[in-house]
Amino acid sequence: MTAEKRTHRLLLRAEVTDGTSTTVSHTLELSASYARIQLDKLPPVGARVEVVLSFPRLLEPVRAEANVAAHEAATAPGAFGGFRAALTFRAAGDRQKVEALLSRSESAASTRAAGLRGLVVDDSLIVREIFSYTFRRRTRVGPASKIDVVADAEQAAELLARGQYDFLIVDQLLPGKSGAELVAAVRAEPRHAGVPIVGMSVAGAEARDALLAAGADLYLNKPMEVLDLCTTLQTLAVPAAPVATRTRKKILIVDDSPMMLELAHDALESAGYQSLATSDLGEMGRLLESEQPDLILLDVQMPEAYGDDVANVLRGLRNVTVPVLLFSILDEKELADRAKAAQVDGYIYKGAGLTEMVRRVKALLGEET
Amino acid sequence: MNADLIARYGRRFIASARERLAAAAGLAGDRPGDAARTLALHLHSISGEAAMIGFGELSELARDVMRSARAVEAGATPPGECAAALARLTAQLDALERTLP
Repeated sequence: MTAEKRTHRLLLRAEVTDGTSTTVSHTLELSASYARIQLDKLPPVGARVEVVLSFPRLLEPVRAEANVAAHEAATAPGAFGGFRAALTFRAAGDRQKVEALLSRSESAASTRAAGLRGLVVDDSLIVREIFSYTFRRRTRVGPASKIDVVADAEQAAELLARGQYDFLIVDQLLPGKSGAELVAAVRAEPRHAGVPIVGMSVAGAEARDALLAAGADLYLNKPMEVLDLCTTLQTLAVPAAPVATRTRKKILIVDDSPMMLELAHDALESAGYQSLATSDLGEMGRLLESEQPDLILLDVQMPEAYGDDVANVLRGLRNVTVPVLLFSILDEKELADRAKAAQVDGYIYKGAGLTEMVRRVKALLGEET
Repeated sequence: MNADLIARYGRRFIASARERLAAAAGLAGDRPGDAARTLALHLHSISGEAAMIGFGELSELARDVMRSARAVEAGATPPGECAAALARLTAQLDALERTLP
């Protein structure tokens, strides 16, 4: 069965934006085109929301449009409900990242993972035992894998001072320091940088907000899917296979309008390019050095400078040889004259729209279909 | 029009445009030329953003108002003419907002 068709039970961070606000929650199931997402404030059926999925060391942030297909009631008192949604990834590379994760998850389900080490911090003996038992008995972890379980933040800090972990699971309501305080302390320690931290509680949105604000990557409201969490974390032990992606060409866009940058960025990323967008000329210089873009789009009328003057600097002083285009809503005649005078490779009239912008970029990069 | 872009950016665009057009208040001050210059830059941005989202008519109107602001900046027309053009643009923004999802 392909990764596209198989549904995986993975608990990944899901940031859901409905146009006015963003709520951080998590997936319950995921395929390359579908997700079940748990959420306390459900968007209406038929709504389109944006979802950013991520999990440290498993999935770099990917963005998708989600069409809400159905609501799901909470399965237990105190639990959040959820929704099912069809996913449309906005960049081809993002879909490949998800497919790579699904393949990794399949490998985790069939391979014994060695050397995975976790720390669970919860004052409930029963909860600690459930984690230890589930992780050992219900997932395929090898004998070198180990779960440390402690009851409070102080004990956790002692263990963290002595060793490294592949993941942390932290309850919010602990005796003494809270889970959020522990998470903040871990995040302030460079040697634990990037370790996935899962926060959990029975205290609902208030605990969620505290733990996420402190730096937890994921928040799960108890009662929670312990087995799904363990299998998600087990995937950490499977090395990430290199994702087969073609090298994406880089487009640098300089424009003083944040909305224009976002529009152009999204259109170019959707077309398979890596977009580097900035409204700051200093930042433009740094991006030129560090990213070496394949093509540059310059707005003409910017508060700091005119785009044609910037183009002259790029050509004359910085020896930029990649295509440079003026990108403006100025009259086409004026734009053409300015482009000719500045000896750039042409211009793109904003009034022609995003589709035309992408077509021109493709043409200049020799990729026109 | 691209319904996806309009759904995603329409309301943000309207709010941003209204913020930018607040610069028009300076036209009634003692340095209308300076205010007109600032306003023209804002109208330029409004026109560009509108065009990219797919609000072609609004983009064209913003360009017309920008030309009017440039004329005020150059001292060629009184600020009152630009204010009248601005009123048309504001009315179109209001009308557009009522159509947004």
